[in-house]
Amino acid sequence: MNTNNPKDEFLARWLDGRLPEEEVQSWEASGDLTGLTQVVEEASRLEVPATRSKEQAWEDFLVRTQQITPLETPQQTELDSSTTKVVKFPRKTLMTSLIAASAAILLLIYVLIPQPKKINIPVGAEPFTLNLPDGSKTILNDQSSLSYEPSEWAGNREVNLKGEAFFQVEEGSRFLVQTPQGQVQVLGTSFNVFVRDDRLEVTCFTGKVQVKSPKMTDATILTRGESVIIDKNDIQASKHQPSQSKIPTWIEGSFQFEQAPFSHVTAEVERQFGVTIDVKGLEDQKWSGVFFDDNLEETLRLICEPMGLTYTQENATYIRLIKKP
Amino acid sequence: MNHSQNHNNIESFAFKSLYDRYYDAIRNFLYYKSGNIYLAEDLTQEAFLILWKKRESIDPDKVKSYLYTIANNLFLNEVKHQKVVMKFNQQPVSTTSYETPQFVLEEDEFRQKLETAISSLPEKNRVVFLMNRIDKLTYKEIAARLGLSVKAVEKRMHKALLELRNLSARI
Repeated sequence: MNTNNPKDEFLARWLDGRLPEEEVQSWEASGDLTGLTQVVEEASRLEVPATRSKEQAWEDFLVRTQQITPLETPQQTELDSSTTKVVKFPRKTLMTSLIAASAAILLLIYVLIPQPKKINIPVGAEPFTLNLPDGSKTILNDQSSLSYEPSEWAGNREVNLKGEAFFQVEEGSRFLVQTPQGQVQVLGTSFNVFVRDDRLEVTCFTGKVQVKSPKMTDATILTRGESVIIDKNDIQASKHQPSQSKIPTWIEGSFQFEQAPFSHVTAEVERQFGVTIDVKGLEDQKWSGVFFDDNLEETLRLICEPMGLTYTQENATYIRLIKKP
Repeated sequence: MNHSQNHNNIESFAFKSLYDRYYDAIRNFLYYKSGNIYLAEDLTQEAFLILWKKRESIDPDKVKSYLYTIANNLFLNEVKHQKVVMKFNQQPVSTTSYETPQFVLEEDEFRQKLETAISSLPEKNRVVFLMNRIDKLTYKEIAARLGLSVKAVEKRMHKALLELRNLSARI
């Protein structure tokens, strides 16, 4: 027997093939290891997803080191070779020179095109806090994406948003949130932007916010506690009681709705829990209430109860809502 | 100018081999921690940039563990208390599969459960487990990269396996 206490890490030694045969057999006999064998083999076939290849990453890296791509220059090598012990490269043909030249041009073009920074938040994630270059801050909700140009930030504070985000903007020049449904412009304030499907919803928490949309003739200015909702065929402005809250409730995992179309509520549940909810025929009913992002079953009960509905979970991610008999 | 140009090229070639060798490992490491591939790729670049800036003052023997340290620090600066949701790609099943009859569950469903279980492992155990499974690193190698003792790596691995065994028992 090993001098180590085998209990501490015997599974690690089992996986490494270092557990004595008799012990392995006794574990296997008790059926303890067959399931785990499946798990570890399955796990070893997993691959980490990638948004770009290693080569693309390297090119990007080179750009960022301000390094010229390692294309060697033929004449120089030949000149040097008479006096130094440089490995002699074969004499370049016209073709390779052309390739080198075009590669250099491509790299130059690549350098000149600024690389935007893009953040995508998946479903079922925690709110993600992103610090922008000037100290402004944004918190992104699930299934949201935001992009901006770091290189232009100093002169142009502009982000593109899809989904939902809360912004705390440092004072300074214009800060612009571009969305497919319109734009939100501020000087230094905090506000929430929700932009999904046909809906744009902006709520101002501090300071002032200007909202422009092709669907409105004039820009709207919101001050503390005010919000505007621009829907497919409807514009509503509303004034909340100026609340004590400094940030939207979703950041802390609570989702509040007032007379909201039921499909908006279920869409938020889908994003928070990474599930699909079948609401056929119930989309336009109205729902008021609050749910939390930490318990799917409780949430389903909460949203079903006032609507006289019940739910069946057909598998881990598919839920069907049905009228109570 | 010629000389410095050549020198830079040679330097960047040498750096490229380092980059080639560790890019995937560092990106994976950051993914195991964050569950966010965009963040993992961004921070990997940051880590190599920091290494690039210090390339002349670094002991080649320590580059590997130094890279992991930089990556870990960058990660700690970036995110606080994120709930990790991991999604993986999967290589096709090899023709000689060891599946036992009790695992008649759909592959996909099993993998989803596995992803959920992996996501809910404590971060340290998850990182060690995935470095061993996905990056195919030995405990000794993991220990060297993370600056841990082999014993500590084995303990983390054991804890991860223990939790995953509970998962397999539930299925």
